[in-house]
Amino acid sequence: MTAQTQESSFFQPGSRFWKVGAGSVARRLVSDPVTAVAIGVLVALVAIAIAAPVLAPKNPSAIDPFNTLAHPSSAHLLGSDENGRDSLSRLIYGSRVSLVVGLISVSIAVLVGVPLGLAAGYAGGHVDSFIMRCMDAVMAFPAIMLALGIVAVLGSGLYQLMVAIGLTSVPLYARLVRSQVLSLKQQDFVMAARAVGVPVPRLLLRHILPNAVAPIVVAGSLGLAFAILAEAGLSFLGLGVPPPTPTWGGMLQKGLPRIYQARELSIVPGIAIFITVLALNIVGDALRDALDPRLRGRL
Amino acid sequence: MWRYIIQRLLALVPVVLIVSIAAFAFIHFLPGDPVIALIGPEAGTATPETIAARKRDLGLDRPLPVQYLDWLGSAVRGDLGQSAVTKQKITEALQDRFPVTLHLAVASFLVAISIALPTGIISAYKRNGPLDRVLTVLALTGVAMPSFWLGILLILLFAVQLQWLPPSGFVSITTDPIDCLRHLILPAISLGMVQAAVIMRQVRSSLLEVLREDYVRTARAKGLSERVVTLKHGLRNALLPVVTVVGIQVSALLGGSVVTETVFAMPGMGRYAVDAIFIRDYPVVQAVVLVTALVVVLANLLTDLSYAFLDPRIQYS
Repeated sequence: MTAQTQESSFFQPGSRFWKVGAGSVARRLVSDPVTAVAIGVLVALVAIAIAAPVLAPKNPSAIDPFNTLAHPSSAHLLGSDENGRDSLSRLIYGSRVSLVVGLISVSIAVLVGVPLGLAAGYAGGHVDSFIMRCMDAVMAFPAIMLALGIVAVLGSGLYQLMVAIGLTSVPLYARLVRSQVLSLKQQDFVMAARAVGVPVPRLLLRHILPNAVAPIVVAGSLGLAFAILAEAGLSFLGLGVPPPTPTWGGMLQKGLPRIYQARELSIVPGIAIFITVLALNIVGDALRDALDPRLRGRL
Repeated sequence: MWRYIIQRLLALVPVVLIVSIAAFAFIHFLPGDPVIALIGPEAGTATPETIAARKRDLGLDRPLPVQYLDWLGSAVRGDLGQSAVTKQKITEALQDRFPVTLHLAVASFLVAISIALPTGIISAYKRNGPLDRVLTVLALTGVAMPSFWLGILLILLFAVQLQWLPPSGFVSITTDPIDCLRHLILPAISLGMVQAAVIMRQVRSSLLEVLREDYVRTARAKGLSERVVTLKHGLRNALLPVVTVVGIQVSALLGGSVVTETVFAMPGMGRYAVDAIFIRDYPVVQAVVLVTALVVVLANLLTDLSYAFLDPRIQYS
């Protein structure tokens, strides 16, 4: 019993397992050159988003009616849009929306999905059936279609977009955590904790959840890529953050009708989305292999 | 087998019920009175008495469960209500819109499969070689590529630059098969490419897993060529997880078609829903979301049932 309690505490947050594990995972990640480059891209992107007011050469919302649809030049390095706004500045500021929507919507999905998965997996029976049938029903709606419905209810805007994208990913985390709980609750250390009368909330949060963190982290990093794609897609449809806030998807939407006059408007924001999502996918795949190779093919 | 099909159909009932409740509740979740959502722009000029009368006409003064059952009954009979703006019957509008989305989905699916199967097989066959690496990088690129951006790039190259294909629009296959194909090529590639990347990765990984099995080693020991081993012994057994992924992709395909139809100005179901949101035509949004979800549920059922044909070892009980 003592040994099993010790095993349980070994997995607690802040224990040796996490200190040693985190260091070794980080070393494994940067040892692969492709992953190291992808991490570098993401770090640079975060830095650009934070330092946008310093880095952007112009005010991203400043309209210049005499310089509309300008081709790249020293005045506008990436050209200007239909209102004469500087494309480079809008691209730099656009990274803020993508990253914030990505991070917050994944957080919403985790915060709703993980407790549902814990409850379904641990309680079993009718609670499990009810939660999982609801998750099946949510998954029946294609993500963009569900997000469309939620945006229709909530209206368009930054917060609404985060909620819409976040809620579409809830079933992923609920199913993932449920499957982890189902196998963990049969393990000796959980049985031991139950036998000594550890209350259920504590059992779930201190003994079971820390052991399910690895797949959640992996799903979260890949989920971030999905969220950024979804944000770009909804903004492209005109259902994202309303103008004049610059978003990459919104820039593509405005560029499409002007494809004959200013091609760069349809190319540059797409490259930004593509590189960000590619880097996130590479890091997500590498994290999965470093943390839990058994998840290959499931995430 | 029949017992399994019936079991699967019964298992669908709660999911379909929850989907229908969610779709019904959609109108009631909207801010303000549902009657305003259902009668559309005329609510702006209507007097409170007119609104109350419309509410009675639409049965919105009855208890919610009664309204739900009534709505469900109509939906089952194929009556999805009418547009709040144009007053057109939604079922009639969908009869025009659904074939467009179906054209796009089928064409994208064909593009995806015809790229994914050969590249996945070659990648597994030449595992860890230079060709495999190139194909793996291409697949990773395909997954990260926003389909609507790929669509824009294709328009730039093939419609603006080379002027080989039309940049937008739709022609039905029954009207003019050649023109239909010319209009479908770009949208199908832009939507199918992402699916191809996902399916290719699955074909490669499940084929590699199968190629490690004992019976494959036996086939090699018998002196069969690597080609025969991969295609005859490996592929059939590797198809099961691929079918699962293909089933899941139906949902992605329908979701992706919303954006692709916008890029290529195709009058499909997804575009119908997006336009409806802009003009606050909520009954249309409700109907499209419901129909799409039901198609996905049906596709998942067909995926499950197709296992029986692919793997006779699976016992259905």
